[in-house]
Amino acid sequence: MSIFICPTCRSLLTETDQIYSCTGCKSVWPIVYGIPQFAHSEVKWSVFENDVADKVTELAEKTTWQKAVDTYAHTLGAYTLRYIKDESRADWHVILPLGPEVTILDIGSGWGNIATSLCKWCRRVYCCDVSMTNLRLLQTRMRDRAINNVTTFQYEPNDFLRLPFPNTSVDIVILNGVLEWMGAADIDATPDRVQVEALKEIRRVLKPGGVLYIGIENRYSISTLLGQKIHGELPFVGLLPRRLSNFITKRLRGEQHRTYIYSIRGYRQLLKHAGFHQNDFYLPYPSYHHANYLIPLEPKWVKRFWLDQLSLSRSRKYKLFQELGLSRLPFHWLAYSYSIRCTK
Amino acid sequence: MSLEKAVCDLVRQHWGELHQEGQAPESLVFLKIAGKTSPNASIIAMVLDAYKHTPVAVAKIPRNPQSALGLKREHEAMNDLRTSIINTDLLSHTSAYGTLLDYNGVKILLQIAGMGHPMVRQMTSRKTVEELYGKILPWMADFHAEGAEECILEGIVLGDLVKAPIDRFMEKYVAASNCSLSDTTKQFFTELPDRVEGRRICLCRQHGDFNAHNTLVEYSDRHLKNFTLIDWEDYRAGQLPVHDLNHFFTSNSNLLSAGNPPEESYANFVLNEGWYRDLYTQAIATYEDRGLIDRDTFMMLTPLYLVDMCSRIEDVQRAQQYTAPTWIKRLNKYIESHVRKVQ
Repeated sequence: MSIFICPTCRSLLTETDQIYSCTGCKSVWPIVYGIPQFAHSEVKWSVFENDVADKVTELAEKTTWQKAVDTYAHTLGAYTLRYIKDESRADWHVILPLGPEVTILDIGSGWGNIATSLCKWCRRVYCCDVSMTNLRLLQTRMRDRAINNVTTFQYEPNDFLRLPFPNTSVDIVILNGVLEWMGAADIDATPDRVQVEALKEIRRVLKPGGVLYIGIENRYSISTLLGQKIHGELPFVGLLPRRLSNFITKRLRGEQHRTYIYSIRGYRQLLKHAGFHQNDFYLPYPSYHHANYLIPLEPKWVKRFWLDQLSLSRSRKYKLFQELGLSRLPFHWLAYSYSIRCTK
Repeated sequence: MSLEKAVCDLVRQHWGELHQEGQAPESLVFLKIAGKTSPNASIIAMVLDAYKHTPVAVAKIPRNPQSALGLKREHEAMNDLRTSIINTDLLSHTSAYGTLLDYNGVKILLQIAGMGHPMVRQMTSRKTVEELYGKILPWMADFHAEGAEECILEGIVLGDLVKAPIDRFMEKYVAASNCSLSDTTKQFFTELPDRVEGRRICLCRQHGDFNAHNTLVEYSDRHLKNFTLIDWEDYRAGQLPVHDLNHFFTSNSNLLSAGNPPEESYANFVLNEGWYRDLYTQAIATYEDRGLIDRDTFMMLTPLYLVDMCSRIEDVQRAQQYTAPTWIKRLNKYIESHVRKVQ
């Protein structure tokens, strides 16, 4: 019997030759390349150009993940190459209740860096993504590393999040750099509503005491205030009231602004709406992509201790910042990103 | 339970093995502070006293729970330091107190936390560098002199410490790296064993990664009050006394000319005349005074440090691609400079 249930009606599924059939609504979900497709559409996203992404995946399936990535490494920048290879990106797992009996759901698993790291600390990792190409590539990475406790599946990108899991069946859910993209689903609902519904769906599958980990950017970070483009949006647009940002993006690009990110207060409200009331915020430095430091925002003195004692900055600006006692200010309001641990 | 909570509990339970006195604080805070990127490296966290706002322990957690080789090596080093160093003043500047624990099958190394911040942050001017080096280098010479064993470079010692590293380097790292050895360097290595055979040196313990990132400094009224050497994973006993001193100067030289390629920083600061090279020369003179090694032999054996750094990364392919070219360039520059001086 499969652990999966029908994402549409939540009835049991039966598995026959490369197909999952729903015993309730009679939906049929194919299994392609060994990956259950709980989706009717696909979003192709990759750090590689689309045609290159397919070639990388095909080469990885024929040879090895490493060889395929190295072959096409010249099409990527050094940062991106490190980003997809780096297995230290999930070091924030130290704040999660991992253990030999724990099951993890990694939503938007991308390159599999996080799954590769977490699978050593738990019973099973379920990796899901909206791109079959990414999932196929991820499978080759696991195959080459002889990792056999990672299961993949595709989920529907253009609908409210519907997970193929029964209620209270997962211990930990990971949303690392994904929640903002959920708002981009091509459906008739506001991005914040799509995000709240996704969080509610995650809460449904979490066991009591289970944990949701979120890694995400801050809407009012120094970077966005200085005009850095986040998620391909127009600079400064994300800082504006949502109606205005939608209006401007529509006028200039012909599409809505949908990749919503929030301030620390905004995240608290969003999580509260979704039913998460016990939320611990951390400051990942330099960013949630690679959290060299993970600084709890409570108690408050810890971030000041970090800045005064552990920062490696040798710049005059930093010295001035320190001498003026500015480390006492709530500078985390302007941090690039946050790591959030939400307990059910 | 998360590792965050488990580590705080372990610090409370094993307080006596970390601190000689006092009781464990009731409330502790876990702060992840570092973690190198390689798959088998450790995740490092600091445990803070929630009342005094001071660090009380450092925890090292393996990224791969099945592989804790680095932690075991560091724990062995800590044991060796505690049992072999008689001078307690020397020991007080190390993070030698701690214990290796098993938590649900995962090895976790707990160490006493050094006070202060990494020395890197203080290296902002010639004045601060001179002050730091003025305190740390005499300690380094004392540390190396403590328990050093005098020997003649011949037979097994010559084979293990001179010939074998050169052979390994030539065979594994030079052949396939992007940067080749100069003819002068090749000739130097061919002749080196014969040139140093019969010389008298002292074999001593070496930290292995003695640099500004692994030295914590504590300041009081803008003056250096104390320092602690951390991260003993690469510690080895019975080594040539050339590694730590060279590494301290070479690795830190990058900080003095940020933005330049490492081999240029090395040439500008360590090889060319100037105040930084004067500090280096003085440090070698201190080694000579302590009877560890004479200046000429030190200069002659220094390329073995560069070879060792090049061969340090066990993943040969990764070393060839990323680190070997830099170290080979430094090596060529050093040999050219050294030969020029001899001529």
